[in-house]
Amino acid sequence: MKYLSSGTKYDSCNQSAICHAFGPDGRCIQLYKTLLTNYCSGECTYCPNRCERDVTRVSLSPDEITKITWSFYRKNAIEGLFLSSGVIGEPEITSQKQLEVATLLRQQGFKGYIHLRLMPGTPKYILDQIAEVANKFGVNAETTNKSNYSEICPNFDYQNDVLQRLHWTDRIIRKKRKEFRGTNRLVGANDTQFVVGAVNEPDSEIVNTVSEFMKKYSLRRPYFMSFDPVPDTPLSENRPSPLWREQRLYQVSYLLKEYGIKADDFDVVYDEHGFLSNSDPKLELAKANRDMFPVDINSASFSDLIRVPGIGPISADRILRSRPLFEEKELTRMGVVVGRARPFICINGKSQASLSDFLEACS
Amino acid sequence: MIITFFPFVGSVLQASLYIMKYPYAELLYGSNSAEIEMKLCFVKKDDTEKILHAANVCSDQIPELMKKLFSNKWHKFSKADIPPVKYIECVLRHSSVDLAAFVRFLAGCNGNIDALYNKRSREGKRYYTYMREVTKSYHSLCMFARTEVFDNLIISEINPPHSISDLFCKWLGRRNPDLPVAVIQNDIAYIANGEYLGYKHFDVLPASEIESLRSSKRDEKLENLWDMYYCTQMIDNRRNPGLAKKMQPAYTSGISRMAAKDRYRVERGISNTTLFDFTSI
Repeated sequence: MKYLSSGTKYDSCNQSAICHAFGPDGRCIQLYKTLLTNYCSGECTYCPNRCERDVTRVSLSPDEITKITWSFYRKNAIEGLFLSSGVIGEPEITSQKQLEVATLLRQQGFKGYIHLRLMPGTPKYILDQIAEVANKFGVNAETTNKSNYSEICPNFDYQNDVLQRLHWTDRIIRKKRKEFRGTNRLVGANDTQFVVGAVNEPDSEIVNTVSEFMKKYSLRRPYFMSFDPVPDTPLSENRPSPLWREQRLYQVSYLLKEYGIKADDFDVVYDEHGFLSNSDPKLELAKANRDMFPVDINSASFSDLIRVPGIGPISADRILRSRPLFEEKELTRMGVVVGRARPFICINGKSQASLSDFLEACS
Repeated sequence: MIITFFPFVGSVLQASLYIMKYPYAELLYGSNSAEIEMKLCFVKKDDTEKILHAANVCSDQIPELMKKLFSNKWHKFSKADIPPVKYIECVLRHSSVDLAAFVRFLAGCNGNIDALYNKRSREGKRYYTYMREVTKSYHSLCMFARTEVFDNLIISEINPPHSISDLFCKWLGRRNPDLPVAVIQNDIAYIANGEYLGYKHFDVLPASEIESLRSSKRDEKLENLWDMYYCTQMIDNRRNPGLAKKMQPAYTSGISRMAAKDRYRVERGISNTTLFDFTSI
């Protein structure tokens, strides 16, 4: 158990319900995350379980996994199971084993959450069966295009083994949503994970890919994991990706999803190599579009309000429902970070003076 | 005039409607009729004083009362907040709430449901905070309370700051529909899925009655297994005590022993060396 759970510590998964514990790194623990096995026939260059690496190889049987999952679930220590695996021979065999675990749990009356991270190249008929028992399932995209993918995952094909599977998953989920509408059954959304910094793809490429996936495959949430070199792998000499890069990409993904900002809008905030800087992308975006500000709190539309740094969709909603507003104090009560928003807003006819205003007045 | 009411949503709404009609009336509440009668003996000036009783109503009638109090917008709520009826229920469960002041606040909203949420007034902000504290306390229980699992029963012992033990018990019951669940707070036990033990589906009993139902414990080593699992999820070079402490604040360690252990590791990190390493040198 120790080896296999340790193998999933880099996998991000979240069902946005109840976290039951937090690790010393601040990440929440809400699922029993494990690999079925760390035996793997793949040669992914960044992976600690790649076939050529000398590590202790172990497996858990479906019975053992279900027993541990039940015990933790009854103890109220988890919400469900996250199951990934090394590739045992063929992706089909591995996915069948994963399906076996999920089916066993459901047959035993398990009502919790089941998330299966599937192998690239999982056949469609298995995806169909998995959709019957799992709440969420998907394949990791890992990177942004075919050439990058073949560089880090030489055994699989990006177009066929990843994108085709994302497309099928999206279709199956849509079908399930219709089928289970109005029932308590939780049907997940398409999700995928990117290893940030394993190859030299710039942030602009990642953001564009995420945006494309959101449109094409209804990707609800991308996960990002900073590349961390693993000893005895071909990429062991590479430099680790800075952790803040992961955080900034998450912020951009929320801006794409929740704020309706388009991927192209971020073109002005990248540096010449297409990378984000280590500062809040929303603030950078506002600074780059000074002509849009200040917005009048008492007349601006929802979409204009949420572009102001320090105002999110919740506080924007509260502002719309409480107009007219006369003081900054009222904004503070509504959850607006006034210190951040002040240069970009106008309230009761007053806005913060800037040096350029002063120079303009002098001239 | 005196308006009496119970600390339940229906009764509070009814009392708010009465106070809108008779703004100078005095408000008096009690958890049951006997308590109200007792309080009335102290408060009533003479026998001619008029008393209006805001009786509790069944849940079907609550929308109608809400409509009277907040007009057609009574069901309006934002994506981020809970619906108004739940809001009122949460405030009523708060340990510091002054019920009479809350009834006056509801009446003082003058039909504007947004006043509950927009925090423009000081009172509005206070009750909004109360609602958030109660929901936070409930979520903390769902997150960090742990259970003892027996062959025929799941038991959790808790001591929350607000009256939410019944909500937590119902939540645990929904999670484990195939087993009876008991939540013990001091000398009271709340039971969910009670039909398996011959009680009602949801019941309240003296805690001593549950003690007799405990059979032999199973999975004694489960906590050790959890500790092992917890330690595997740590990425050493990503330790972020500030974030971890924010996510799992110190007060959560009082909720259960397992949460206390996890919180200790959030504070101190996970040691890589053990006594076994020392003896094996």
